[in-house]
Order: sequence, then structure tokens, then C-alpha cells
Amino acid sequence: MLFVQQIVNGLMLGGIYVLIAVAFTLAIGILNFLNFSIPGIFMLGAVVIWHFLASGWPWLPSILVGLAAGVVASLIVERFTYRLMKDSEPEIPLVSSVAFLVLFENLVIVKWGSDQQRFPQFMADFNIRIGEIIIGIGQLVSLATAVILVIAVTLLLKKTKVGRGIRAIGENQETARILGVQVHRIVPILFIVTGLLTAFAGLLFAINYQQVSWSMGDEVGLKGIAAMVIGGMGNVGGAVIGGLLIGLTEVLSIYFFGANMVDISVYGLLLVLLIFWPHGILGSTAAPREKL
Amino acid sequence: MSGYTEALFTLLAINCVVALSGYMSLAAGQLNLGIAGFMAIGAYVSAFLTNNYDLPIFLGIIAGGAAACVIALLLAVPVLRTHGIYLALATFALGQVIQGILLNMEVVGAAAGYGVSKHASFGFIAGTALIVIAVIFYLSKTRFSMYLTAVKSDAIVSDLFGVNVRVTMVQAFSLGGLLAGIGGALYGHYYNYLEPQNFNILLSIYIALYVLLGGVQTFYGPLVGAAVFTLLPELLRDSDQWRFVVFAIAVILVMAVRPQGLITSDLLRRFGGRA
Amino acid sequence: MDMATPLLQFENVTKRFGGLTVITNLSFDVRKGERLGLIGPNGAGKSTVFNLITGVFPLTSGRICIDGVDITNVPSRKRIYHGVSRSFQNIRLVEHQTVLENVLLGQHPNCASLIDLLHPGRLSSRGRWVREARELLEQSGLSEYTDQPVAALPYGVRKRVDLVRAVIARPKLLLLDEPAAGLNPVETEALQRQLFEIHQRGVTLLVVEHDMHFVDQLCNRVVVINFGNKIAEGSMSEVRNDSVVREAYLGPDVNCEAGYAA
Repeated sequence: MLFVQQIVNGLMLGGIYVLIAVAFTLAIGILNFLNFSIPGIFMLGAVVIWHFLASGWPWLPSILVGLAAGVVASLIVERFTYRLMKDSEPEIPLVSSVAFLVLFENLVIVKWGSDQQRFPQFMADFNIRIGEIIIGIGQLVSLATAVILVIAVTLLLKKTKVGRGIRAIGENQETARILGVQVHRIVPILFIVTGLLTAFAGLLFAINYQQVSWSMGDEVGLKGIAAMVIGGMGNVGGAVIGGLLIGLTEVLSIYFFGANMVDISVYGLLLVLLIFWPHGILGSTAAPREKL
Repeated sequence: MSGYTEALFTLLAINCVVALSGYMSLAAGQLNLGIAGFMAIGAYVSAFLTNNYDLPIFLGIIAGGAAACVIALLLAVPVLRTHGIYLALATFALGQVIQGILLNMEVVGAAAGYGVSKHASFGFIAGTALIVIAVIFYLSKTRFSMYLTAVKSDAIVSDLFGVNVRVTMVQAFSLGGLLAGIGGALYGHYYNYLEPQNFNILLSIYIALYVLLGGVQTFYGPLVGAAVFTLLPELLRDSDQWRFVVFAIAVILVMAVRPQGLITSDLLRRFGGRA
Repeated sequence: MDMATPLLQFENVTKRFGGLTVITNLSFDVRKGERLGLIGPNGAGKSTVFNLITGVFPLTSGRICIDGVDITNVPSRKRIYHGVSRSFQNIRLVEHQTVLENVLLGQHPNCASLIDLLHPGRLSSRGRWVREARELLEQSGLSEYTDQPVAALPYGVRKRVDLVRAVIARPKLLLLDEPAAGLNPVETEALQRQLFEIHQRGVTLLVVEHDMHFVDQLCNRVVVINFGNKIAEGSMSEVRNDSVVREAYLGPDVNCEAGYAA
């Protein structure tokens, strides 16, 4: 039954990837922007929360400050990357967002050094047993939180005025503007959502694995891209499926092949997907046609 | 020359070679985020051959470059089916996979690292770098480099004038792999120690960033980018990590106001001579 | 070269994009040495015709022949070797390069060998290809712009550079996509002269244009299409008075109006 236990673990990890994948997929789908700063925000949220906890602050304020840091970082990226470059080829804002990833990581190293830090325990070591399977309370809370957040985002997109505006922008920004959508107000809201989801993912990771480091974005956050691609770029439901699948792939890969094979499995899968099935599971197959 | 200065200029020479590797891909419009992987291939192949078969360094470097080039060539065909963002992601995944494979290859030390027995002097490395720069300079004056720019700028028009866009992209990618392999091999023979962890996404990112910072419209841009990246710490002696912060901010600012990079064709024209 | 075979044969061509049929069973010929105008209201499918000839889109059915050779399945990259070249409605030059460098691209079909590819002479003024490009630019009256970046040049000049690039490929058939669009009368006249010159050198012209006066001056024959169908063919004066053509441009009531001379 160890195998089933691994499946459970994979789903829990998957929940974290889901949040990151949703952040990526919203940016790609709505704004055609591959936001490489997302892994940096993932790390920043976690590190900021750790810092305040380590300084003696209680949990709730620390978490709130960490989430706020994620939002602020995301808005800075919006201001200096997307807003300035949305009319050029999509690779230019991508490059800038990559520079932000580097910036966030190095700011953290400057302030706190490059060592991995221990993240305190969130709740008592409490486990649920179902048959022979052990589920930690932390893991359950993690998965539940991820699910709630994704549902919240989906409801936001489908039921609210802001959400409709976001989807209109995703269809065609010019048309949306003509139809009266306040693009310059709505786009930052999207970045706020990105910041929240991503920083939250960082928090969940820190709680479950009880560690934070400046490189956790590179090691964990970037895998969210693979999750996004599997599920289909631009598709939130796809991001959910993709996130869970990548979580499973990672955990099962460790189980069967050892920890050193994880990157080969996850990124090998990403590479194969990009070459043969770039539209992913739920993405559209229509390729845009050029006008001559 | 003091030991410190020599080490600095050696690093500059290596970074120039690597920058030109990035230039090859980026001039054709390919954002190669896996370039560190090709550096790793070159480094490890050269190290392995010189360690175990007593090859002279220059042959090791040629072998390393050739190996990286061949692998780039083989991978170019499937990978270049993707474009734009997809290509950037595919090369990123590729770099991660290469790093992952090397982390598991016991024969070259895996995660523990691999010693490189033969040392290349500053003179040797500078000489190699100058040869590479001369060759790429020559190439930048040929029609081939014009086609790279044409393909990047407008692939459909290039196709209509008979340019084989696929082949041009594969050539650019493979050349990029070749140069990255040479750069990686030079790196290995100077520092005499290789770890797969060093050839990671961050390295590919730094390379892409300083090449783009310098600008890919002309041959000189990537070299300027490499110089800025390598020599910037000299202005910030005391803190090693701040240099990356400053570098990142510089890239963000340049991309915001001058996305073509620091050195453009126009700039070169203004200062006399043709781009 | 057999003078009887049309240079371009567009035979029963249909083009569908998904559910939308853009070209329906269209047939027309371009004879060697002609200056044929392809006209029709907006959305008639004229640009699509060009894209089908150059191979950017595959045909849904039908055939296209150049000088008797069926090129229907020839990839777009190879069509220039069959003698088809084109200018672009939205110009499409590399902005940061000079006029000369842009024109050099057009020479590609004539210098695609490895030696030409790796010859360093691209920017040396004694290089054969550079000389050819400079000469043609001079003949076209553009020598003052030769070494200037395209980005800084006026619209009319850029259009002519686009044309020179298309011509330097030494095509048999030159497709011109709205060459007069956006030009003032002086520029339009210069363009006409340039096109007549090109024609004198043995290039057959196929022109898509909205400026009827321009078409009248330049073309010896026109084909009128609407909704992807050929609705008339003949000289400009014949076609001008055709009732179907008038209806296409001016609406269904026009022929009910009293008093126009046939």
C-alpha cells in the first residue's frame, strides 16, 4: 500500500503546483505573457513569512505580510514588465520577467544569505489514518486550501464583473477596451490574483516541507510551467489537472527511480509535450494564422 | 598581471565565447534557455577525454564543441518545431534534462563533481576566445548572418524569397551549441572542477540576459553584454551578491526603455562604419 | 519559352478556410508580357489569390501552373525558383537594417550556393552582389537612400524599396499587392514609370489595386472578382461598363438608375 500512499503524497504536492500553474496559465491565457517572475514570487512569499516568524511575530500577521509582499512584487512586475511591453513580441516581457526572478532571488541572498532555512511547524503533528494510508493534517489543509483558492478564482472569473472584464481582455484587449472594460484597472487585479495564488503556494510548500531557500523557486516553482503546459496553456481547469499530474509524476518518480531522476522525469515530460502536444489536455489546437 | 586580474580576464574571455553562442540563437530569434546544458556537454566531454585518453587540451575542446554541436543538431529538428515562447520553454526543459542526466552519470562523478586534470592557461583561453571571435566576426559579414536576421524579423518573407527557414534555424541553433560547448570546455579546463549543479537554469538565464542587454542586432552587442556582466563586480568590490541585483535591475531598465539592447545597428552607423 | 503557354494558369481553384469558402472555382490566365490587373471590392479574395500563388496557403482544390509547370504542390519556399516574386501591401522590411541590406535578401534565389552564403563580401563595396544591388537601387532612383536604415524613411520610399527587393530576384512574374496605396500623385507617377521599366525588361505583372485610375493607366487587361468568383474579364473600358461589375462595386440598384451610356 506504499504505492497508494505515494499517490496521496503526490496529490498533496500537486495542490501546490496547481496554484502556481493557475497563476502561469492566467498570465498566458489572458495576457499572452509567460511570467517567469512567478517562481520568484513563490519564493518571496515564503521567505518573507519565514522572516517574520523567525523574528517572533505570530502566524497570522506574518502570513498576511508575506502575501502582501507577493502582491506588491507582482504589481511591480506588472508596472515594469507587462505594462511597458505588451505591444512588442511576447518574448520581451518574458525576458524582463526573467530578470525579475533573478532580482528577487538575489535580493533574498543579499538580505538573508544563501543557506536553506528551517520553517517552523504550523500545527501539531496530527495524522489521519484511512486503512494503511497516513495523511498528515498539514497535507490535507494544503490540498483543501488549494482547492478553495482555485474555486474562488474560477468564481471570480465566471461570476463577477471583474472576472468578465478579465475574460474579455483575454479574448481581445482592443475590443475589450472599446466595449468599456477598464483595462488599466483590471490587468493589475489579475496580477494581484497572481501574487496571492503564488505567495500562498509558497506558504503551503513551506508548511509542508518545513524549509525555505532562495532557490525554491527554481526547484519547485518552475515545475509549475510543466503543469501549465500539460493541462493546456490558458486553461484553469487544465492547470488543475496538470498540477496534480506533475505532483504525481514527481512523487512516483522519486519512489521508483530515486530523487535524482525527478528533474529528468518532469522536464523530459515537458519537453516531449512541447514538441508533440503543445496544446496540452484541455488547450485549443487552433494555430493562429498570419495575415499577409 | 596579478592573479586576480588574470582570473577576471579569463572569465571575460570564456563569457565572450558563450555570449557569441547565445548571439547565434538569438540573432535567429531563438531564446535558448537551455544553453547551459550545451556548455555542460562540452565541458564534460572534453574533461572525460582529456582525463582518460590523455588528449591534449585543444583536441578535448574541439571534441567537446563537436559533441555539443552534434547533440544540438539532433535536438534542433524536433525542438525547432516550436516557436517563440514554446521554443523558450522547450530549450529550458532541455537544459534541465541535460543537467538531470549529468547529475546521474556516475562515470563523470554525478552530483559529487568531476575533477579535470588538464589545466588551460589564461593565454590559451584568451587565444581560443580570440579565434572564436574572429570567426564569428567573419560570419557576421556574410549573407548567412543577414539571413539569420531576416528569418528572425520576418520568416514568411524570407521563405518567399527562397530562404529555407527550417534549415537556417537549425544551423543557428547548432552553431550556438558548438560555441556553448567550446565555452563550457574552456571553463572546465580553467577551473579544473565540474559540477552539474553549476550548469543550471540560472546560468542559462544570465547568459540570455547579458546577450540581450548588449543587443543582438550586431556582432558587438553580445560582447559588450559579456563585458558588462563580467566586469560589473569591479565597481562593487565588497559585495558579491549585489552585483547580480544591479545586473538584474540594469536588464529590467534596458528592456523597458531600449529593448533592442545597448548596441544597435543604428548606434554603430552613427559612430562610423557599417554594422 | 513557349509564347503560347500562359505564364500563370489559375485553374478551377477553390479555397476554404474551415467552413468559410473564400475562393470558388476561380480560373484565369496571365499571359506572358501582360500587365494584368486583379480588381474587385474589398473582401473579394484578392489577397488570398496572391497567397495561393506564392504558396502560403495550400489549395482546397484546383491547379496553379507557372509557365506550364504545375506548382500546386510545390512548397512556398521553392516557388521563387519558378519565377514568382511579390511586393507586400504592408511593406515588410527589416526596420533596423539599411535599404541595401533589405534588397540583398531579394537576391537569395540567385545566390544560394554555399560559396555565396559564406562569402564575406556582403558589406564590401566591391562584392558582386552588393554592386548589383547598388546599381539597381540607382536605376530605380533610390541611390540616396541606399545606406540609410529603413526605419527612418518615408512611406513612399519604403514601398519602392520593397519593390526593388522583389525585382532583384529576377522574376518572370511579379505580383504587386496594392503598390499605389498611400502614395501621393507624384509618388504614384514615379511608381508607374518604375513599373513600366520593369515590364520593359521582360517581367510580367499581376497587380492587385483599388486605385482604378492607376489600373487603367498601367494594365492592359483586368480580371474582376467578387466573393471569390470571377465576374468579368477584359480591357478596363469593357469591364467598366459591365453591369455585373457595377453592381458589385456600387450596389444592386445602380443598374436601375436611368441614363448611363453603354
